[in-house]
Amino acid sequence: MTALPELDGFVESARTWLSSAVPQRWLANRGALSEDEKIEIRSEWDRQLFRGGYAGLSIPREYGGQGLQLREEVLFHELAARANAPEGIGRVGKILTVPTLITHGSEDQKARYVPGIMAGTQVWCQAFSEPGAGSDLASIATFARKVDGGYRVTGQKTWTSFAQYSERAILLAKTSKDAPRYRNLGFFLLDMKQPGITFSNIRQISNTSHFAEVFLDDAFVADEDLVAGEHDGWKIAMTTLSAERGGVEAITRYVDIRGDLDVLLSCCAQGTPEQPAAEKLDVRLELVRWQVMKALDYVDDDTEFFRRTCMLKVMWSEIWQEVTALAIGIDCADHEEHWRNQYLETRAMSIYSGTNQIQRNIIGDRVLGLPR
Amino acid sequence: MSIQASEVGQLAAGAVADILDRATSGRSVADYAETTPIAWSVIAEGGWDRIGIPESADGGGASLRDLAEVALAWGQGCVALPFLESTWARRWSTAAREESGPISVSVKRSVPKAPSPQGENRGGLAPYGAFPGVVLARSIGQGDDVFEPAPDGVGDPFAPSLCSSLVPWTSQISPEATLELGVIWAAEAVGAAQHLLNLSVEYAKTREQFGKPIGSFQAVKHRLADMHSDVQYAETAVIWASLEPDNSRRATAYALDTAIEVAQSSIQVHGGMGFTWEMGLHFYLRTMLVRRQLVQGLWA
Repeated sequence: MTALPELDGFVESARTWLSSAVPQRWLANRGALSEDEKIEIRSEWDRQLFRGGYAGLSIPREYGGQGLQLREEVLFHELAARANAPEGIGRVGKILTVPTLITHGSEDQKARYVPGIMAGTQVWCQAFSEPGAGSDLASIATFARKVDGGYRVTGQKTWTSFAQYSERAILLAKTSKDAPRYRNLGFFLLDMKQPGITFSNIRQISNTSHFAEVFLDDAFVADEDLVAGEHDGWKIAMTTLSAERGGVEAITRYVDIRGDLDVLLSCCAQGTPEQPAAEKLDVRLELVRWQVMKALDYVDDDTEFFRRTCMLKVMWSEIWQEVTALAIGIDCADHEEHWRNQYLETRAMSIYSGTNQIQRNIIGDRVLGLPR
Repeated sequence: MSIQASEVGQLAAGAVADILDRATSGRSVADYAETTPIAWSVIAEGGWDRIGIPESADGGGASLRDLAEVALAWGQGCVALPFLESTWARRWSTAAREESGPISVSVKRSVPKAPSPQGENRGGLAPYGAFPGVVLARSIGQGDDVFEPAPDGVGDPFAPSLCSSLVPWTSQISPEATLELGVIWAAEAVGAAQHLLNLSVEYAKTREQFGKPIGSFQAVKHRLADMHSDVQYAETAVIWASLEPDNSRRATAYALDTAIEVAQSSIQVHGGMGFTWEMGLHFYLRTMLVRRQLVQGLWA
């Protein structure tokens, strides 16, 4: 599947490991599991990955990772998704917290947090967006007031995944009332298990809840949990967010969409009018995977790598929305329930992880160098 | 462990970019599209038309992936010269290697003209059929391929940089060579699309309205961002087409269609200037449209 013989050994052992590691009750009847059972399996999956030597494949060994290349990390995510493996609930920690700490964190912070994230024993969430600050993230209002030994934080965060399961959050909060925009924010490592923090689930149009609102009422963060300088938060948040939109996520989505598109092609197999459109989506979807492979040849050059990955999120989110929009228009009794759910679920994808409009601004400003 | 072109492909692509740059740098495409700014001898003397011949036959040993890389570079120029066709013909035909001049083929029409009163019309369209000194292959990859000077046919002036003419017969081309020619032409179109995107970005940075560069407005910026995505995916489609024969057709078709969409957008981003003859964007678009037509003919 790779056309890369050097990686055959890696692929072979990953396949073997996955075939025995993915839990039977997840494979057999994932749909029938309760929310608690799913979370239990997903969090155990994080610990299985660590024991199997597959946690943090591209994270350096000194931080508890495997010290391999991004190519192996992408490949493993593709294999795992093809094997219908669960998605761990430690992904915010691994994809966002660890890379951020490696770049900006103190030695003490790395030592305290990275091992637990890698081992799958500490779950993290992300507390960035607010009701009044979505795309305009720099205009957040949550305030961190300096007190003896740390900060007291008050405000409201939203769109937080895994909030109720998390030990810690990466938190963006204002640290100054009068410093200029972009130089008035701090980046904190917040303890989520304290009295000043409460949350409530957000019910989505699909009648599921993947996100929570988080309320902070004088919550405490110690000085040693501030990352870098008191006003460096914006710069750090930008590195965090660029990690979120990369190739690992795209390849995972590719496999998920591949599954849906195969169902759609089977719904169209009788030659319905939707068939040609489904076949065009098939080409576009395969190109997402090839685009990631192409980008991997440029992984050592940040500018050239970003030129080739900056559009992935827009592409996969739009393809998935189009797949489900096409499918919901076909009267296929066998898959009606599936498409009703997926159609509503996918509406969110062009919005979360940075709206597709913001993504296009980023492509225009940073890749094409257009004036702001 | 890579899907990049090999060393020979990257070297040749760089050389082709240099040749184009020397001939066209600082000139508007409208200034040279209806002439031949690069002499055939520049290609022949550099041996660039022999890079696709196997090493065992003293050629450059370039793969299809490599030739796609070269065509991506070549497409940026919109230069009237049968370089890609000649390179491809010498790759697939030992007889073509005996010829030293430029070579092209006659491709059938996917929807032929209605038969004339004299009988069925079996004619084809030959890119560069009207190019001075070109010979057309009666067949390619069929063993003893025969070449003959292009007949004095009727020219098709629609895409000046293709110097096409109508020919009363069509070339017999082996299935593998047919697939490859489609990929190479699609790569040329994607190279052209990349160039049109670059021109559009420059225009949007300098053209001002309402006291600001138009590229600062989201309506324009987002269109350019989509053009960048389209060029990236079209290039990826060409790479895919060059590496997986089973998917070659659908990837080639995607690349051509997408390149044409980028060309359309580039005309829109240039506003009123976009639809003037002198801005020259249309030369690229015309070439792409005929290329797509030719590829449909190859597959018909």
